[in-house]
Amino acid sequence: MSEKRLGMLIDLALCIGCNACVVACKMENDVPLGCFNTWVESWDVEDGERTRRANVPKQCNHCENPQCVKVCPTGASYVADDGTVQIDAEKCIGCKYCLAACPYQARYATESGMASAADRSK
Amino acid sequence: MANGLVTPTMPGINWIPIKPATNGALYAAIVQIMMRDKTYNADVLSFPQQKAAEAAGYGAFTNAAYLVIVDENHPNYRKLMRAADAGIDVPEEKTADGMAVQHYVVIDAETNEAAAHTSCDKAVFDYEGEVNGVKVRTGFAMMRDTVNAYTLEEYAEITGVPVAEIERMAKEYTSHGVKVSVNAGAGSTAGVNGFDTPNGREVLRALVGSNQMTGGSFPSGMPNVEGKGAARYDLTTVKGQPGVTTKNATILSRGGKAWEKTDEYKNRVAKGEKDPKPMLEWFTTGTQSDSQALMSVVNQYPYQCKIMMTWMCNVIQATPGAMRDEVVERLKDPAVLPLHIVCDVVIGEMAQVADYIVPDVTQYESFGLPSGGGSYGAEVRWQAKTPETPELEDGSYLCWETLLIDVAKACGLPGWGEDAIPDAEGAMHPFNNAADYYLKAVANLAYADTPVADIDEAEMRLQGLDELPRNFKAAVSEEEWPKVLNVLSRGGRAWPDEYVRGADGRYRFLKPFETYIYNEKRALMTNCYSGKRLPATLGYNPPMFSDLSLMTDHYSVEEFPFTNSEHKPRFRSISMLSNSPIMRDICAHNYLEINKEDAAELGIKDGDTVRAVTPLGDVSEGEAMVRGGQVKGAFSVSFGYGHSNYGAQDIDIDGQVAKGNPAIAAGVRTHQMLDPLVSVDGVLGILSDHDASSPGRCGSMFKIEKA
Repeated sequence: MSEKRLGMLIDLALCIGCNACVVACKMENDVPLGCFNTWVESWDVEDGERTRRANVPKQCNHCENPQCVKVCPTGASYVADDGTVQIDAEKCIGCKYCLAACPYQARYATESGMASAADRSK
Repeated sequence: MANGLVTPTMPGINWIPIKPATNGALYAAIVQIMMRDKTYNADVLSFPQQKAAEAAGYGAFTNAAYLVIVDENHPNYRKLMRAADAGIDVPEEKTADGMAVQHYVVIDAETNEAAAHTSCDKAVFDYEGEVNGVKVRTGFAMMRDTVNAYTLEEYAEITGVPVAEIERMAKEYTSHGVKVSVNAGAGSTAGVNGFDTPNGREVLRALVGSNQMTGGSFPSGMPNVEGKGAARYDLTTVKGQPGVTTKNATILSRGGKAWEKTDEYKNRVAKGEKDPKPMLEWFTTGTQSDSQALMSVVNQYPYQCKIMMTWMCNVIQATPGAMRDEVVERLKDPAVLPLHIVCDVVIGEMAQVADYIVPDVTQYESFGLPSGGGSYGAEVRWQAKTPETPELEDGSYLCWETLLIDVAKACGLPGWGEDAIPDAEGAMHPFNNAADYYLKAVANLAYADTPVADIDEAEMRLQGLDELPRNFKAAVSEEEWPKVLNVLSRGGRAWPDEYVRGADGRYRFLKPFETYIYNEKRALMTNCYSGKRLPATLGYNPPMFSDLSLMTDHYSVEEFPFTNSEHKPRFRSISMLSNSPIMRDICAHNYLEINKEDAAELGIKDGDTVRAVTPLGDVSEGEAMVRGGQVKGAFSVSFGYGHSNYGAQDIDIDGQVAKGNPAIAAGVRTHQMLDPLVSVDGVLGILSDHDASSPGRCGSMFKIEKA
């Protein structure tokens, strides 16, 4: 296991939910239609007398204790040397156990049935 | 909420729900409070002219102190009093443009006597009395009447904003001296009383003296890059330009002319007709309006449009109620519109009914010099990639500019082709392609104020600026080229804030800036159908039809209790990008957004299919989004959805069918009602603002029901 822990800091007070990061990620990482490595959830929030807007960008969090790696029957999901969680497409059998296990619902299955998620090391 | 750059998660930023088409009411309520508590800037209101304002350290003045003739029997009733009305002698002077200098009348605060505004530095702005036997009041005094037409409780009822909130806003607004502003424009003027929006904005800005003050209502701007006096080339003056103006011609959209002054009116009266009425509304003080022009085209009024050209726009979808079969059929009919040419990157709703479609270039392939937005400077958009449209012999590409240039040259119009553009020394240069024009504008920017440095070789190679189309270099001189490249490399030019901020806390390049507290033009104009007038001072103008009768006098507000607004979409660009798979992936369609309390009363749940119906039976059907972030009493849609074309349709090109994608047509657009008073006997007239003739997209009447 790597000592290195990478992270992304997102200031939620500044996020306006524009989704530019979603589009950029899709284009940069060739994410198939219908699938998102990055997505933004937005909703209205009652705050006393005021209504405010919450925007939460979501991605794979490359967990310290990754459940997707834990449940993977083939070792296709693994923690790389740089501390990120990756998928070896050769080993993935498309069982989708990792989709169920991820608490952030970051995993998705592509048309070929294989699992995928954010690949930050590239 | 401005431009998506703020969100109510940021500290100190609050969203205050307000009912559409009630901006005038909110402004009037705030001004009522300011007048009640005297929290306006009394110094600023006392300045009758710009030099008085500047001498006192301010940047602008108002006509608050100008006397208005309120004697109904006086020949100049409703006008601002002039020196002649007051028996005051003034010199006859002309302005730089050759117009007679107007001498208005004020009560001089030093002497308490009537004086010409030009001979006074401090005037009494709250006055009523008599001057030279004529009953007069100041515009400020008259504004007190119009902003007090409703109580604060009534304004709260109209706007949906509680009294306590309005009081808080008024207090906050007047607690920061000149360092406040109001920003409102664009879409919030696209309502049936849209003029209230900029009217209130200007009055509020003026009442605290914020105009042209640092930290207040501060101008953004850019150097002159196109007009006479620009650094290297004059891209505006055309020798031999036809002298067509609103003085000797009538614009198609019926703006800038009073109905009673039209030839049609005079001819019909001469034929014995008493009190003739026009087929469609005339807008005395309005300027051009594409929505009104479109309706003039389909009604062939005030005259037939023989040739219509549209470029990069979707006029029909932006015109409330126009996207309907009757309008489309007329646009297709050469007897109505003999020639229609569209230049665009897609076959959208206008191209679909055109006679000719000319392909255009996209924003990565075209030129433009928009202002820097906020700071002083300009951005440069230039052909950064090879256009996809056909390349022509001279290295230019098929696009809007090429169409205009080629047609102009074929017609032999002055200002195009050879010897068209003068440089600063008076030598003439050709205008044969887009680069000939825009690169000269870039040269003007590069040389504005202090010329930029020449680009260095290494940067030029790094940026790929040594491989540009030959037309670019040919458009400017040898000396200008390396400076033009410097600006292209940086995508524009920006000056530091200190360049425009004076040490005295004002705009360094002060221009005379007057705000109308009393709007004489508005005071004098009458509605072409009813003869009614709109008030000359700030107030709330409820939604009205074309004769200035209240909509709620015609249709039951109990049966049609909802009003509407539209807003910019997040996942489209106005009506564009419906053909982007990624955009549709993030958000496949828009929604009819309804307040959760309204939805509960109607038994509507999030995701239900609902219909919004006008009193004339127009139906807008879509999926409901039930949310707290929508004001009660109104529904809203993101603009630009509900296409019929733009790639949703199958297209036959030379026998080959390009299949359409129905996903492009997804979503709901507002099916707005037409104006019922003029839309009879085949006439099609739209809802609009009655001053500026802007499209009345917001502020109508609807009922909402589950489908």
